[in-house]
Amino acid sequence: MSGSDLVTGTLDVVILCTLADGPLHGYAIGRAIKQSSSDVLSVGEGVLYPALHRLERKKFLAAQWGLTPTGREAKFYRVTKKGKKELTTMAAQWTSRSRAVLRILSTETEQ
Amino acid sequence: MDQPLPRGPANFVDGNGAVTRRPYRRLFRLRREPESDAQREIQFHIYSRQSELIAAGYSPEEAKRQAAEEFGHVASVTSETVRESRRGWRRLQFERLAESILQDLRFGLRTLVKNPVFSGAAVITLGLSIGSVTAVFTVVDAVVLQPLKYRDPDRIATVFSTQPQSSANFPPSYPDFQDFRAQSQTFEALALLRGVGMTLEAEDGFRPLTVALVTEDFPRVLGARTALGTTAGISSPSSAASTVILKNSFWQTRFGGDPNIIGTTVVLSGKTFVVGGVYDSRVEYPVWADAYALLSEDLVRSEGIDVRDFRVDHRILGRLKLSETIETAQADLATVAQRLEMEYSASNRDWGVRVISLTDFTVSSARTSLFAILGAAGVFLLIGCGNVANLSVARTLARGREIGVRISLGAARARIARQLLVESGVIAFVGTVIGVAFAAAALAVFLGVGIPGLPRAGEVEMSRRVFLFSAGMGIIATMLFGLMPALYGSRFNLSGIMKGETGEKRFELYRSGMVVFQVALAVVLVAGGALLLKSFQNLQSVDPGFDTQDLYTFRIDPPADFEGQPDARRELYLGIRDAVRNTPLVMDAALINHMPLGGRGVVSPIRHPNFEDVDVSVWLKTADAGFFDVSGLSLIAGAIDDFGRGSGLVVSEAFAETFFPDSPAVGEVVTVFKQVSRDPDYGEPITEPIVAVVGDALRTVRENLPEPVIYVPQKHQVWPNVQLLMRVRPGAASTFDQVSEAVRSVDPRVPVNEIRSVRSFATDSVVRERFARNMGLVFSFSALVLALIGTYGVLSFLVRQRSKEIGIRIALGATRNSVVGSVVGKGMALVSLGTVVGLAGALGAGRFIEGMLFATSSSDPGVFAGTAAVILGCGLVAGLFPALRAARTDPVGVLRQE
Repeated sequence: MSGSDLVTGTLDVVILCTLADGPLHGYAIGRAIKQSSSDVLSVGEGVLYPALHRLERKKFLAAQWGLTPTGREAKFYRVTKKGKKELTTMAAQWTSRSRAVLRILSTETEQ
Repeated sequence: MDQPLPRGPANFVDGNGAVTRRPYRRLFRLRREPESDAQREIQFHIYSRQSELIAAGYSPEEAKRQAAEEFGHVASVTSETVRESRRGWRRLQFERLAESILQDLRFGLRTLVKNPVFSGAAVITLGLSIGSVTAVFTVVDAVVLQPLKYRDPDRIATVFSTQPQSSANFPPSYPDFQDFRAQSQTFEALALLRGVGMTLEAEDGFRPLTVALVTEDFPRVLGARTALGTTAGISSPSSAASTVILKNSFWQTRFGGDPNIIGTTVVLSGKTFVVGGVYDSRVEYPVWADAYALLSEDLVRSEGIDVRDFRVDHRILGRLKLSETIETAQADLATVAQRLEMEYSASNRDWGVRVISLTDFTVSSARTSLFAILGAAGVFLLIGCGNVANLSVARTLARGREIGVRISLGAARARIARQLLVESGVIAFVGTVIGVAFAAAALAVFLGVGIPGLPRAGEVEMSRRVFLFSAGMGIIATMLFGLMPALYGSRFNLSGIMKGETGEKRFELYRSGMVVFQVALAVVLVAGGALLLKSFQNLQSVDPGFDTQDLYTFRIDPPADFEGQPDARRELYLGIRDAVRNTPLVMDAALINHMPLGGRGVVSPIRHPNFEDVDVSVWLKTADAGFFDVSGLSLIAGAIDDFGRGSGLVVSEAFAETFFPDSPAVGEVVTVFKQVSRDPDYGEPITEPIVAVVGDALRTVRENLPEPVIYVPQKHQVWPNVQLLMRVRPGAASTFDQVSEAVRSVDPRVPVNEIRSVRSFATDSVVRERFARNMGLVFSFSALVLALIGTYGVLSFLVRQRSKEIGIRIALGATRNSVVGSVVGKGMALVSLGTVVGLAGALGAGRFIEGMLFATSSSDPGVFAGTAAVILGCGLVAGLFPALRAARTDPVGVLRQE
């Protein structure tokens, strides 16, 4: 129950997006988000792992324990079909919403 | 199911940060405890960061500290993660639900305790109705629904002989049994049982018992367990000693359940037997048997039963082969019976066969009445639920403001509905607990007294199924009476509350419907009870044909050495008769082999030139001349005197009407045949003139049908045992010590068993009907009371609700009579509608209990009219009180409240 809907929603989109290219484990996801957002978005572990488990419960993600290249056991997440569908709708929502927010911001600065 | 893995730190990360592995873990890869799953994932995270730091040049210790620091509080992240995982989340949801239901429960209990009148009434009503239905179900379940406690009980069948014009089951003859056994294709084994009366020599004198003489396959066919010993003495007899197997109840009553009885000897009718076993307490078949002994070839000879037309006191029990059914067995034995008909036309013409499963044979007599009583209890429960529903709705309405406040404070409607449902559940739960206790008490009382005619009574117990059943009843009851208030709570009209309305109108239809429903159900029960009552009265008013006042009887069982000695027996009987007659207590005494009303009897073929080529049988009785006088049978024609001298026969009125409808029967010479199988003269003809016609004496009350009877004097035929019939001085029959003394003076070995009033034969033969009537009356009376309380409650409520309107009407000049009339009218409209619906239902229900009725139609117009009158009358009374209260409404007071 941490964060508002918007933040939760954002994080969900970002995670689904990050996993779109292939399965990753939790640590890699965190790093990938940080890197691909050019260090703008940093996801704390206290938010990331609950979010992963919530997405797994909602069946947007599927998880499997597997071995890393170094031979360690790690939990790998991948996006399910349901997750892909969710990503599409959420991404569309997100784009329109952020566009709206941008519009409001731009009018405010104009005034 | 998820497989729990052993927990503990070693499972996750060892001292070096490496995950330990257990060989079997791979099996459960996807099935981890959510906690361990999250924990391990987070440990991996920290480890990865650590490795990264080491790669960046940190020392391992530093890297470890740094990684841990960056991560933050491991435990709280873990628990947060677990909470979001599937199982953790589910557990959380469940905990939340449980907590809020617990809260509802606490709140519910508090409100119930605060309303002791409502709670008490509801809980007691439910307790009584759930209790009754539970008690009856306990019996139905044990007796009808549970299989018999024998090995593969479905494969056990009884076999009877049949006649074309009769639905009765006749005992098969021994030679027929032998042919069935030899020729049947469908039975694995067949056994014959022959019931014989014997006396047991005990320390306290001679005691009568009934022994089933059985062929050696009997233990195998029955497939029952023994409590002690074995049945080997019957199934593989040795020549050394005769074995007797005791029925459990007989072992308990006669031998006090002696655990060391196996191997001891008992003397039965002068013969010594070794006790080989005691059957399990659930062995009831055949009900009349106290013990079982082998029917050896010698006994077949000495009993004289190797006669094809001797169909007395026999039973056949068979075990079907695995793939066979009752139907195939029936077809199979019918073929054999047809063969026998052709082969032995003299004895077997028109004799068929009937195969009945032992289960049906055992329980079919009780099935209808048990289900009828269960139905009555179920209807009673419905009426009870109706009353509690009325109460709950009234109370919910009264709590309108409380609910309104809760809704305006933000309580969800579903939450309110659940709260109300939980309160109903609490009531139902307490009601169910009371009900189970009530059922246990009622069963203890009923089984202690004994339920007449109930098979398998010893198996009745409150099993787990019974508890499940009553729990189910409690849940159904909650649904029935709790749903309306819950629905009300969820559709609560908030703006209405604020305006002072309580939304009562909406429930008027519901409550009116409830009255109609309850009255209709009560009508069904009252009509059913009234039918049983009328039937029982008809049964009791049957005239047995003679005066049973001060008439008593007991059976004389001669000692074993009288067997095959008819003359000695006759002397013994006459000696006892005269000794008894001379006691001051007794006015007169006489002898008869089978008591009228006793139900038993023996038939003989009869020959006369008028009906030479027709095969006809009559009931054959042996009596002394005094019998007609002592019993008080009316003399219709002729004189008894010659019968006393041993020349001449006496016939019943039905006999005369059947065989000599157009001419006087007296003077006709007829031939009948001696029927005492163990005497040497069995089957010899008795050809004598008819000297007198007497009135009909009923053989049983239930088959109220005069039958052709022919009485033979003792000179020709002396029965192996007889009934001594005595008429005692009026009001003198308190103790029969004089009689017992008189019998002992003649022969001390003759046991004087219970001396019974002849009237008790009549009452004993109708105990089942009496029980059914009593149950019917109890349920219909209780149902009536409940339905009336319901009607009264609804009308009172109506009056209270409309008191304003009534006050205004009175203020405007309405007379009190018109007020009373309108309230009563409203009530009677509902009650009448209920009565009409109920009578229709009762017609259907009546058809179901048709088999239990005696000389009473299931649609008896008198019963139905009477039921309607009673219900309408009671409805009137129930409506009158609220109506009178309405009429007393003080208009000024009501208007002032405005």
